[in-house]
Amino acid sequence: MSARPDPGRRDALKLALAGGVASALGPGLFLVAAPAEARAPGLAASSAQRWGILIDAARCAEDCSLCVQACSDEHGWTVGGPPGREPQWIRTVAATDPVSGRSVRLPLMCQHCALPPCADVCPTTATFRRADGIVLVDRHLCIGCRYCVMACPFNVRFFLGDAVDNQRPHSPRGKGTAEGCTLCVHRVDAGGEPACVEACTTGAMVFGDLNDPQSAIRDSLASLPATRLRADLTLGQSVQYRGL
Amino acid sequence: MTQGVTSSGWLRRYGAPLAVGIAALVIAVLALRLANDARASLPSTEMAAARGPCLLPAEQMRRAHMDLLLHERRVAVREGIRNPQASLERCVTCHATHDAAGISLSANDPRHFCRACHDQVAVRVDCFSCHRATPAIAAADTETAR
Repeated sequence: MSARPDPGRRDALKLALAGGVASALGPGLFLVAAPAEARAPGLAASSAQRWGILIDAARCAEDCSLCVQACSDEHGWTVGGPPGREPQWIRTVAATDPVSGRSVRLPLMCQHCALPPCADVCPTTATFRRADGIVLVDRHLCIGCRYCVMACPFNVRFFLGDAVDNQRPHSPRGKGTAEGCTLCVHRVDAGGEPACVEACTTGAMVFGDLNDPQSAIRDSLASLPATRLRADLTLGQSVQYRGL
Repeated sequence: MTQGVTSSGWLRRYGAPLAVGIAALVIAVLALRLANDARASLPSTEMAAARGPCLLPAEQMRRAHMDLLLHERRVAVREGIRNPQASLERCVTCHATHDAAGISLSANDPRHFCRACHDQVAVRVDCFSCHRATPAIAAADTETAR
């Protein structure tokens, strides 16, 4: 493939290299925080950004499932699929405190851990954490062993056992591979926000760059406390909750 | 008589090489015919050409498309470098084949652009067990197609 003419990518790589040299003081040290905008086309995802969602469960309406429907529409999985084999990239979970009787309802999807157990156990490195913190399945490498499904403490990784047709062009999915929330990586790469966040009408979900001190999500995190689910596992999830 | 002896002598002398030469010529012509037939049975790229230039000329694409796809899939999925010009989505959009009713053919149909060659050379690809094999349809149609 050495003869392949691809000046665009070569230029982009040179640009990236130049930028890295200019801003790096040493390994892991940077003079200024990287900007939060979408990357220029041709640049790889980098750890300068870390995408996350802050969910205020107190704002979730009683019977609202707009985020679930939006995800289903965006990625082409069916809500209420075959029992026991239903993929739920995102679902609403209700919990009640047995003492006070207070109940809370929250959307649950891949938590995009900093130390993802699913990626730990993957024998083929199909499950991986992208540099900007998004945990994905590289279906080209997935052998369908389902270790990740078992390893996930939040039960948000699924195995697709049925053949699918008419997939969304931006969201390939196929029989015999593991799948889960991609944080709408195709939208994020284009500078957008995930479909669930876009669909939320109550403002319960805030999406942004956790590394950017100017971002709305960092603003919100600075003003009020938020927790991670099963914080005792110290997985460092990018999805955080409030009002639980 | 002298003429006959001379003639048979000529035949005896040049007959074998001549026969070999003629046979070689016939074989060459037949091989060329077959090669042309094979070329003629390759899927047409004319329709796709109407949608703009391909990444590389057709001759090179026939030999290199698998390497291009392998490269693109790695950088796109694992590094997030998306190149819409070299995406599989663009391949199936430009090279869409349709049935008589004008409906895009899926990869299950032997007339699908990719299948036309892959069937001939007995290469089975599983791109389309996960990827969409037809052009994206309008959002309104996805509900019925699902």
